[in-house]
Order: sequence, then structure tokens, then C-alpha cells
Amino acid sequence: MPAVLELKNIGKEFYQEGKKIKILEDINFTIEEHEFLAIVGPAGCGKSTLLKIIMGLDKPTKGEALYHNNKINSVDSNMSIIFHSFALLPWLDVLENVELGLEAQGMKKEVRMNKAIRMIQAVGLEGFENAHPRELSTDMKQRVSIARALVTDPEVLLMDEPFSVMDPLMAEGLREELVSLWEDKYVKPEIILMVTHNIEEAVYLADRIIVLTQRPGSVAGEFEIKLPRPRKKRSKEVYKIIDAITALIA
Amino acid sequence: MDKNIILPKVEVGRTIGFLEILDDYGSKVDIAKIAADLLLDLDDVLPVVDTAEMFNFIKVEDGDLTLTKSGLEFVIQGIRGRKKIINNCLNNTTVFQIINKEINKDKEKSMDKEELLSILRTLLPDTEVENAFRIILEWGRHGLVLRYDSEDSQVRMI
Repeated sequence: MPAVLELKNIGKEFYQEGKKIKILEDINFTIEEHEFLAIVGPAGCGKSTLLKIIMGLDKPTKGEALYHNNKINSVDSNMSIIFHSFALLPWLDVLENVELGLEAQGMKKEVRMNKAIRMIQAVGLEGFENAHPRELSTDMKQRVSIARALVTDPEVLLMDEPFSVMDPLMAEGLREELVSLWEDKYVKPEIILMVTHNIEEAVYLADRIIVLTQRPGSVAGEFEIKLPRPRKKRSKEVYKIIDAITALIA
Repeated sequence: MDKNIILPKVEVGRTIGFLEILDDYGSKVDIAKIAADLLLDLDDVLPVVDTAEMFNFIKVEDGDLTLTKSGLEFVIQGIRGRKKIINNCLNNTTVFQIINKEINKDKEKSMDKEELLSILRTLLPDTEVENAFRIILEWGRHGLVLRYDSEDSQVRMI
């Protein structure tokens, strides 16, 4: 199967006060269709920078990132990204925030609204259409972000520590819903790429995990998770993988 | 069980997340153990336990928690099914029954936010009612029981 995303010898460095700082070095991997890939690594290892390079928000200093064999030069409308902070427009309600993703596509208002409503239902926000962001709990806000990111039917969904600034119980519920969305045939995306420092979360959610070293981040190892979903968090298999990854990072 | 619980104390997401976690443990778990595993204070966990118990999703016996039949049924449902169950629970929850009754008495079939805060002050004399209002609104919206328009500050039943 041809790779959808390919990273070839990616390196990233910048200068700070005259000193060269290498963030990423020799990053090589591919992502295929129907893959949920997690990138884990210690703080500062460059995983967020890597995500931005893939999204087209930043350029590598060395090497190249390819999307369907084309060099990634700018943001592609077939990719959406979610950050840990929500960036919802406070003067728009939930429906309007989700519709925002579609406005650029030149859709008729009615079509936009229907798509947005269906996405709002898919992420469990039915009932909140007219709520404003300030009225929403953290997890509800993140659901709006997810709905807005997915309403354009992106092929690739990128997530940068999506559950890191959230109450652990809320994060738990959201992870489960992410698994449901991933398994839902009617919801794209085809590929999810999630950056996280939470190894348990990566093992629970992903098909494959790429482990980065400390800065400058390079690939320390790769793990395939072949366990069927939903996965039992407290199982021997899961613990084994978590231990192996932790050993690699430590 | 605390028979004085008449409204949910914590948000929807925390309650559902808690049930998912309990389900993952598989059987009876000690409250203190769950709190410790989650790196949470008991003070943070207890109101979640109260809320889950109020909806009859869990049973509490001697500090041990188990999912009830309803709780297990809830956990295996998808989003639609869960909303139906919550809708049912809320219709049997005192505070929502009170809101429903008052709104039905109103000519415009709506209730002002201040009026709801006032009701909450009577029901919960020692509590910060703005927080309670926010939580009730979240459950009410989530369970498709009520709507709230922040522009005119009106609560309406669905």
C-alpha cells in the first residue's frame, strides 16, 4: 500500500542567541491509510514541531515531508489539526464555530448547517448547538474543536496533546469517544496522527507508536499495537508495551 | 446512599469518564484505590461517586464501588443510547422536575436564570449556586431536557 505521508530525513534546527539548536534529527517514517499513529517522547523532543511540519505550518531545515508524494509546502485542506488549547471563537455559538470549518469551501448555508449539525451529533454535542464557548466545560470545548476539525472531512487528523490540559476523568471519556469516532465508517479521517507525552494513552489509542529520543529528537523505536479495540487498560499486554516504551525513553 | 442528593454535583464528562474507568477495572473497586490510581484526592472523587450513585449507575458498599446493571447498560451504549438513558434519569431527578413544574406554570414557558439561581439557593443553602447552575445546564442540555439561551438568559424545556 502506498504511503499517504512520508517523512524523509527530516531535521529541524534554529538559532537562538547565536547558538544553533537542533530540535529534530534524521526523522524517517511513513504513515499508511487507516492508521492511527501516536508519537511519544519526553518534553522538548520536538514532537509538536514535527506535527507542525506535517501540517505545513513549519518547514524542515533538512529533508522533506511528502503527502501523497507531493512535498508539503503549505497547509492542505485535507488535513485538520487540533491543539490542546481550543481556539474557539467566543462570540460564535457551537453551531457557528463548527460551521466555520466549512465556510471556506463555498458551501450553501443550508448544506453547511446540516453537515455541522450531523458532526455536532457525532461528537455528542447535540443539545449544545446554541451554547457559547464560555458556557462549556473543558471536554465539551474540545468536542467542538474535534467537530470543527472533522466537519471538512479531512483525510488526515493531527492532534497535539489533545487531552493534556483536562481533568483526567473528562480525558478518559473523550478518549473512548475518539475510539468510537475512529471506528465509525461514516466519519473520516483515514489517518490520525497524535502527539502525546502520555504513554498509556498512546498504547490505548494507537495502531503504531513512534518513540522519539530527548532533544534533538530522533526515532528511538517503533511499536505496533495489534490489540483489538476497545482495549483493556489494565491488561498484561498493555502493561508490557508501556514498559517497553518507557524503557526506551528512560 | 445520601438521600439528600437531588441534583448532579459534577459535570457530564467527569461522570461518564468515571464510569468508563470503573468498567475497565471489571469488578468491585475500593474508592481509595481508584482515587490513588487516578492521582486524585478523595475530595475530587466523592462528588463524582455521589452523582453516579444518584443516577443509579453505581452501587457503594463499605467503600467499594460496583457498576449496577443500569451502569453496565449505560457504558456499552453509543452516544445516542447514552443520551436516551440520561434523558430518562434527568426526568426522574428532583431538580429537573422542579424546573419543569415552574416552567410549565409560566405564561412564556420559560424561566429566567436569576429565578433558577434563586431556586438553587433554597435547595442548596451552603453552596455556590453559579457552579451548580452551570452543571445543571450541562446535564439538561446533554440529556436533551432543557435549552438555555445566554442572550436572553432564559431556560426552556425541550
